[in-house]
Amino acid sequence: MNTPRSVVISPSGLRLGVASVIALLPGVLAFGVSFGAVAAKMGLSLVDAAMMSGLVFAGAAQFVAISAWQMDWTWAGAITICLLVGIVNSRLILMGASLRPTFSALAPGPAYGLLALNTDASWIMMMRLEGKTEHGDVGAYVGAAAALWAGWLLATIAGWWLGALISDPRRYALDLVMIIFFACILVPLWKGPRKALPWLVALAVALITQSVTSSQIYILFGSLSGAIAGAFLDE
Amino acid sequence: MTNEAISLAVILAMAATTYVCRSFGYFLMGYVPLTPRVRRGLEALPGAVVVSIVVPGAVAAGPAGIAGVIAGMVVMAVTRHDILGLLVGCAVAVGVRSAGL
Repeated sequence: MNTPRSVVISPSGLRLGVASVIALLPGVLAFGVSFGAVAAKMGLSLVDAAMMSGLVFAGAAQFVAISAWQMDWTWAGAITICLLVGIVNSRLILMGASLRPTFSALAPGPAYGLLALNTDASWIMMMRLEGKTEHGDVGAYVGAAAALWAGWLLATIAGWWLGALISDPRRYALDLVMIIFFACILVPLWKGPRKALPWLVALAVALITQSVTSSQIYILFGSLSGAIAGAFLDE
Repeated sequence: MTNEAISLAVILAMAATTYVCRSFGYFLMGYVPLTPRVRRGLEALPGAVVVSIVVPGAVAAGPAGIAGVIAGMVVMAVTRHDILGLLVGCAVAVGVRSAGL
């Protein structure tokens, strides 16, 4: 067991984190503006929309939630929204598991605090920057997460005000930014065909699950099967 | 409760649910001994998560998604530059969409 260290947030790490998410910001901002605009259409107040972006800070789950938003609340409606949010965010469970070795040098308090900021983009940054930063320096993670959080919150507020001004983010492929960036990150994760066997398992299970359910739970099933396959493949 | 108060409660419940998702996997791994098998599983996890997000997402987005993903990966494989890969991938996706596919 490692002895817990104090959190190191180096200025160079912070800069690295902010710089590494700049490419993603146009997509995040456009996504945030459209979230704000849709939220306004669904009847959320500006305070509600901003609070959701600030506290939930999970784009896909927020979109799913406001698409099921209600003007006259029922228990069933409220519970359904929480279940949907849990399903869409289930991938974060696995991302958190994979952060254990990285954060294990930290005391529990800072580690659980940092996990509150975890998103697809900041997680993928951690994977990408693995080895480029000092072990135990979480500056890059904090920089990336803070830039994403501020951008997401401001874009939500702007979108709520602007309403329908941004008509079609799809036209500029802004809805695909995250997927294409993830695909690029996959390339350096490639460590030969043998190590990629779990990917094939993940791929098959994710596609099968996607074809039978319409929800994003396929991410959970695919990733979990891939990890299990990886665990049971002999060295 | 008024509707406004319930909306607020739902937002707080969403935030709590999301935080549980963010912290639960990390918490759980604190109780799982890091045997070689578990370590291999964790090592396979990032690639498996990325594949499970990218491929179904690209398939759901249709020809533009698939073409954009392939173009991005090819550029990344050749140049090792992720931002360039992202830009070319998006440009290809925009092109495919504007061609009406």
